[in-house]
Amino acid sequence: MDVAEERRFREFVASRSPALMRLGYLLTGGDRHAAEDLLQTVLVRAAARWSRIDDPEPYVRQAMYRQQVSWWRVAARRRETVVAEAPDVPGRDHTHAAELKLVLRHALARLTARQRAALVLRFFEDLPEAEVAQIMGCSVGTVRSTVHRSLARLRVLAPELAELDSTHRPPFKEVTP
Amino acid sequence: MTPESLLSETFKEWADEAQVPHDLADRVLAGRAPRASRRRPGTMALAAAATAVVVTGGMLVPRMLDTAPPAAKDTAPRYPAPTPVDTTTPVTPPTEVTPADLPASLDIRADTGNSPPKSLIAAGRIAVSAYFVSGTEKTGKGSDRRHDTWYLYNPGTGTYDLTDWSTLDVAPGLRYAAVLERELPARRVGILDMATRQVRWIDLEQPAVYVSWSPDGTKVLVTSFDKDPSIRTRIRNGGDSWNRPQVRRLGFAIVDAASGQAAFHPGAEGAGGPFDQSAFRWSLDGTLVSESNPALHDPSLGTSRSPERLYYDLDGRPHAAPERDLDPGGEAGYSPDGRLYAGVPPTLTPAPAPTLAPTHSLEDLKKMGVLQPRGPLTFVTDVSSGRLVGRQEMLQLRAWADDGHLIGLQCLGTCEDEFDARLVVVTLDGSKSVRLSGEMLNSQRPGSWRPLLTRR
Repeated sequence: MDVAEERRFREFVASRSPALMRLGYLLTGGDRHAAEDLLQTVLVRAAARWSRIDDPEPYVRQAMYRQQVSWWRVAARRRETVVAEAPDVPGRDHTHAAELKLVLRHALARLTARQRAALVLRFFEDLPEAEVAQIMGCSVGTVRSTVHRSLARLRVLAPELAELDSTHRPPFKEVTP
Repeated sequence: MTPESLLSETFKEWADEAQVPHDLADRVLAGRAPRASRRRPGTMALAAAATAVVVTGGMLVPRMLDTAPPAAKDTAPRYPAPTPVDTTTPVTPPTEVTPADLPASLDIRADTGNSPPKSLIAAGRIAVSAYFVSGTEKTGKGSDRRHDTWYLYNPGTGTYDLTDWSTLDVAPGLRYAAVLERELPARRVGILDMATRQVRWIDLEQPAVYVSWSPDGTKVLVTSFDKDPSIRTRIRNGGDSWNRPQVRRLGFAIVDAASGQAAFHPGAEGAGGPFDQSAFRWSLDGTLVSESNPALHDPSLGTSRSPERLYYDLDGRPHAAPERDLDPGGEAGYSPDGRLYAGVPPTLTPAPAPTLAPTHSLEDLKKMGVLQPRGPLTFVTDVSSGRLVGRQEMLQLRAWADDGHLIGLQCLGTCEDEFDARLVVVTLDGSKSVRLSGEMLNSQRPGSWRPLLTRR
């Protein structure tokens, strides 16, 4: 990496790392250290081939997703638990919506890395299904079923969300496998 | 609210907790793989989520409750309890060693070749987040005011950038700085994102002169004066004499960095004046703030000079002094684990100075220790036993790098001049040190640079 490339790399990290870290934070289910490691690992790889990457952001995002799913697979093989702590019980004085969000975070952290990634890409990154499919390396149909199964799983993990279903059109549609 | 929007909002608020390591680009370019020890399954940040709901809607900047660096707890080594010092042995200067001779967890960053520094200085939980070069600015014939030049760490470039802020403070975690514009007192405080250098402004009810982040990095304590307290008039005798216009310290505001809400609270009557331009400051645990007691400087305000400081809760109500607070002398004070104290512990009453009389002979004075040169010497005591557990040949201990190491000011050469020093990291027992900075000369004079130490 020459001086100009290093400057371009540093500028990229300075300007884009907040957004990339947000993605990493969600992909890892709110684990700050894991998110740091994820982004750092992917950036080390990107730096090594920096001169050959024209548009670094899509490259890094895709690499983060794939790295996270592969790490999770390794972790699963090691029988490590994904979630060890339950969230503190929110105080009664908090707003109800805020409580629901807490419950939802807890449930999201208990999804598999792939399930969580599918939801992050759809509802946080707001990407169309075709783009999610490209990043995940699968078909649009698989994206659709992964998202739906993830939502169904969320409802199982967080029954409190059912009350939203009863007041609004059912959004977390039950999908039969 | 629909479940989709709930999911989307939850993601957005959750992502706001993410923070970028201050030296990410440096780490990557150094080809460093992530530290495997940091990967701990099950250390989800969910426990912090309970506090996240306190902040809703209208966020100006991402939540910063978790900006307190994890390193101190996650990676800091635990040291065995230090044993009491044999005070009959003389104190010797520390042996200068390399960073590799101290625990790797200190992750020492030094810039000894430049003064002021050009690249990040850090050791353990502490970094030089900014520094200023002191100076004055003429405001008219025979009058001036303080005009410091601040240089703020830029995590993108790994260097310190020149700024035009009149003053600033960096939040623990090095993600945000609170800044005031050049013209003091200022009507608004800025929250500057260290990575993007963008500033969000928060208007203030009362004019501001000083800013200080809470220990948890969520709030900014703003000290209000009616005028710039650094203004000097009628400067004469070659700068040795001057007058100060009457200034009043009005009180303090607590600014919530996430919501941008600011609440002002008046301080003590009669605060400020020619002998006290000091700022309000946070208590050690960040639950209270305090100001120097105006009665110390103006006996007409009260018959008793004590206490040294007046405490308030964050709603401005007077409060009793906390059991533990920052060191009044500006030393490092309580260690991260709370077991040790650097400086003179407030619980210890210093021995009364010997009473001298004209009849004392030189021999008498020598016996009384009056003629013994004290030299540069700092102390660490065990809080529970009160025993001395560490002595270091330092001018001052400024901060704890971890529970076994301190960042200190070491004087140069044989310490002919107490204003010539450098920053070092020194072991608790004072036996080893590593240089962190280049030489800081004439630190009492305008034009010298002074570091701002912040938890990284």
